[in-house]
Amino acid sequence: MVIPGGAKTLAKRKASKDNKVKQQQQNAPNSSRSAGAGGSSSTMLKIYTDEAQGFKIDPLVVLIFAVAFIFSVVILHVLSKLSGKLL
Amino acid sequence: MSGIRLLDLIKPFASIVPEIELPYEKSIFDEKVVYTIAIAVVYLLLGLPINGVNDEKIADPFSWLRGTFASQPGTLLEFGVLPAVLSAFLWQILAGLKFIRIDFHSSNDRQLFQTLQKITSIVFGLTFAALLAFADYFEPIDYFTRTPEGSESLLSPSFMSKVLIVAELTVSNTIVTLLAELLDKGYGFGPGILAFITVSSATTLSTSLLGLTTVWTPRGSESTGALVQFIRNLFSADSYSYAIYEAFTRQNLANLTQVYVAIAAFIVVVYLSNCRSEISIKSSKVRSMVSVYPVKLVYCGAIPLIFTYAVLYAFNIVGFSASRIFAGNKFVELLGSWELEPEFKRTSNLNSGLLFLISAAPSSSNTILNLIRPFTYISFVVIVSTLFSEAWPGMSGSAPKDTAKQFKDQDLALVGRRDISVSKELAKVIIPSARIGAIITSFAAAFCECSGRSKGLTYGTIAGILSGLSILEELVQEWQQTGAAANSQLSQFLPTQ
Amino acid sequence: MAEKDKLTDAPVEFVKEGVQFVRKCRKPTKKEYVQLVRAVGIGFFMMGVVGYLIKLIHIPIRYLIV
Repeated sequence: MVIPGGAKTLAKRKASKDNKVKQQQQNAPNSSRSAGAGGSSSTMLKIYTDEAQGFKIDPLVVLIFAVAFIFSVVILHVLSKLSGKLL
Repeated sequence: MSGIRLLDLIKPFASIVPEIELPYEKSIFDEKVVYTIAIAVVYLLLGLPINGVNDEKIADPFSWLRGTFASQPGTLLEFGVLPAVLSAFLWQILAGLKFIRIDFHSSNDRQLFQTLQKITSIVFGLTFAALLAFADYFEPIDYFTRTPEGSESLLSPSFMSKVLIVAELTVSNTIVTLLAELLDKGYGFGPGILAFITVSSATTLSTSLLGLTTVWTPRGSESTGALVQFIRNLFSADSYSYAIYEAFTRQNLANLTQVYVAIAAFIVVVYLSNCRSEISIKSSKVRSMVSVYPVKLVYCGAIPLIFTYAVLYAFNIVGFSASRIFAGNKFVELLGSWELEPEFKRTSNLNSGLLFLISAAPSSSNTILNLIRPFTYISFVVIVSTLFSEAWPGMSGSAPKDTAKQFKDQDLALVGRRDISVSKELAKVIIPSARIGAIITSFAAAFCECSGRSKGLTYGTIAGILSGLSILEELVQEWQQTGAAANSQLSQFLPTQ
Repeated sequence: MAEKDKLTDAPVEFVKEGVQFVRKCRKPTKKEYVQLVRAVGIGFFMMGVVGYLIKLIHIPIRYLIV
């Protein structure tokens, strides 16, 4: 089989392909903002901008849960005070 | 694909991690105000003592680090936002430097990446809590100082109570992470982490100046506010000179020197954050529309400062726990050793070791260490902040390359430049401003911290005000862009511009 | 010798560049600045006072539990 342009062309093609891959890798975004999806910016440290799968909860539930947690800690304190020792 | 990716490993956990729903539509301005206030209130309320811990009898080894992370010793906010901050930095840096491969174009990958950060934050909270609990950090101070003779035999704290402490801290840390997520997802203003730091540092500064509450100290009751204490001193002390001297130098609570240094730093930082270099841009579609694109001098805001202290905080927690758990080990002592501050017994301070050299804790008994410490500490803070600030734009999608892409998307061009060189021209401004902004702010913070003996107040204030300003900027933008002014109840009270 | 020059050159260059850059920056005018400090200061301080007031809730709770 004769390769038009000789074996060099193949090597060149391969090299340019490699380069392309390399460039693509270099140009791949390395943060969610540079992929255009929000997230940390120069002055901001953001973590949660997407809705991931998981156990979905309503924002109000979080607040209520937090207050309930605070209450339960207070109640624990009162109980341990009443029982006269720290657990 | 070579081997298993890290992201695949966390896939099984993804379904059990709590995840807040995104708002159905963009929240209205007023709703955001209410949510932000509610979240801040809940955050501040979390400052309750942990069950099984007497937070007034803890010798706090991290007092100089707390201001920056909205944390309070012995309370459910023992770590403040530190776990969330650490996990965010850890993974975003690893992804930014391409140590882990994540395809940010794929939304699936992004979601897993986010879940990974959340899980790490919870795990960090758990680890730190366990470390401190088993280093006997939570034991009341009498446990260590009481002499064996003359007192009832010491009750060694039970294993169960330690587990309970760890559990409480883990849950509260999860709640803090979720609260931050609420703010991040647009129910309130700004990234949650920065909002908490701002609110807490504002509270600390105001309390240090004007706190009316009194605390009982070995010297009698004292006011938390330095100014209040000063006025009280004037009325009660025998000599005025002593009253003034005392108000400026007291060591157990905030003194006037610290507060004034913090206020001075505040004024300087507000000035710096308003320096900007402007790049003339024009629209390539509409002719003769020239405007300016401002690049702030403090390009990275408070992030480098927060990063540096996050690293220090983590080192200190690990170092402290190691020094307690492996007491007597030579290597651990080389790392750092802590001793109880004798007069008020409220803090235990670093007094030697490597960690002492990069700390702003009160001075040690060793004079040589004291003499070199300012230099090592300041250079550590400045170098770490600067190196970080050079890398951060690239990791956060605000590098010259990304900004140039943004310009292209919006059909903007630099005046007198060709499209191809936009990125290079921007780099000439953005890279130095990120670097110099970080150098100036970190030097100011570290210098004030060192010379003013401000125990974290100044550093916390600077970090707080810088984060506050960046949130404010976003808020103002939103206020103007969405025309929120028209349909907000608040517009009656705010001047419309 | 050349190496030594390089070593001292780098920081000097660095500082020079920095000073030049800061000089080129647009700085706020005095009037703007005073306004800004006042506005931000009042905002920050008010936020702090509100935070302090919220923290006062802890006093009765502590009374209850300690």
